Amino acid sequence: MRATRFVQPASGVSERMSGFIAHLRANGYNVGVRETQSVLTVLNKLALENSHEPRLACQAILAKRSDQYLSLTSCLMRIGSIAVARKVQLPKLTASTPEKIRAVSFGLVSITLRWTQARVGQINRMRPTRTMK
Amino acid sequence: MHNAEHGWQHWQSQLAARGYIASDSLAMSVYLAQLLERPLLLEGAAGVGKTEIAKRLADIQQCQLIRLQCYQGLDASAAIYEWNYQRQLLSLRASSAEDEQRTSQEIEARLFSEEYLLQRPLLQSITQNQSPVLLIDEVDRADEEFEAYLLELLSDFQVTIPELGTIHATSKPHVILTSNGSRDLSDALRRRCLYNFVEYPDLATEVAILKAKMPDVDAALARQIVGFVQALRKEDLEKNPGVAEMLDWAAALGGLGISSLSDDPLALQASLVCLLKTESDIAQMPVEVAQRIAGKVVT
Repeated sequence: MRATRFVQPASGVSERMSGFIAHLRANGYNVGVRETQSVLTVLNKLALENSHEPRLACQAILAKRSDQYLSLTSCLMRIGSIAVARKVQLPKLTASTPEKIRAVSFGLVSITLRWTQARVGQINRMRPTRTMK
Repeated sequence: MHNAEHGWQHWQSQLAARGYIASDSLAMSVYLAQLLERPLLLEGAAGVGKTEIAKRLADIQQCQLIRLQCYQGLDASAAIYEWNYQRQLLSLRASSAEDEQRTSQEIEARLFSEEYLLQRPLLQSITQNQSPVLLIDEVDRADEEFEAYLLELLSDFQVTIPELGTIHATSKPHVILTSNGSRDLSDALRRRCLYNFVEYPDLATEVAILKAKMPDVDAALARQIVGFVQALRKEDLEKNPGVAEMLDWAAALGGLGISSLSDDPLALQASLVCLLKTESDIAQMPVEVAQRIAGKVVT
């Protein structure tokens, strides 16, 4: 499975989202700008106190095949468990804080990216070293 | 802003009120399809309730359900529109004297007008005053070429007729496509849809479905029935029994007066025709095997 490497963590919200979409695209997901827009639209309308609703929404919008649907499920479940293990405190949400809502949703994205980077590093360490002749 | 009244839980409860127990992911997909006005592609094995969701959705929205059943050889004339050639010919002959005064363009414009257009399900769905539910059922049965006809409708909710021009939707239909996965659908079609992979329900959900459909069934027997069917799905069968088959079987057992699966082995064996649909599957399920499975779920 190919993985996208990011030189440094993305800063802005749109940059993070496009990075996440690019990562999915590099792994065979047929997603583009429209899906990014849809995810942004939907995340602003969902309750983000837990990762359950964003996970369901991302599955519906970003997966296009059964294998992608199932792998995205396990991937997003993993993200959820990482968030719990790290005791990520999500801020309390109010109707008047759309920016906070966005920040929380993209916090999940950043966790995904960090997990991916860690996993790539793990895989790279497991590879046998080749010597140049 | 999250609105609990119109969120995905609202759809889940509305579906449950109509006897359809939807998983969280399916309810979310239905909600998002309404919110984003995008078609919803449901993929999964036969008998998991893909078609049923469209019927329930039409019931909730109190709107018309327009169904296009796909099959091999389905073409635009059966799915989108067709010119009424008989009426065109009749009209041409009946008014031949008048037509001598008209130019050929005028005659053509009259013959290829909406008056002589036969609307088929896809065109019909975009010309309604109230948004209908459009069910494109078993899209994988249609030829790959047919998917190209769907693309314009699914992305822009419009249909282009060369003689008439582009017909835009008066109200966007709620489109649900179902597929059993017998053929891989094109990426172009998939990209235009939201996606949900509908799996067989887990034990608790399937028991809830059975109780919703048949409230008179005893709770212990309901668990036995669902447990038996779920165990059967783990066997190496040609065609796994779906939820619809499970409901048929439960009705059959009720009709036979069976209160426990261990009551009457021969009656149980005879009733398996409701679950097993091929000769090889029936041959693979002799009395001993059926009793072994029944023994596990009864204890």
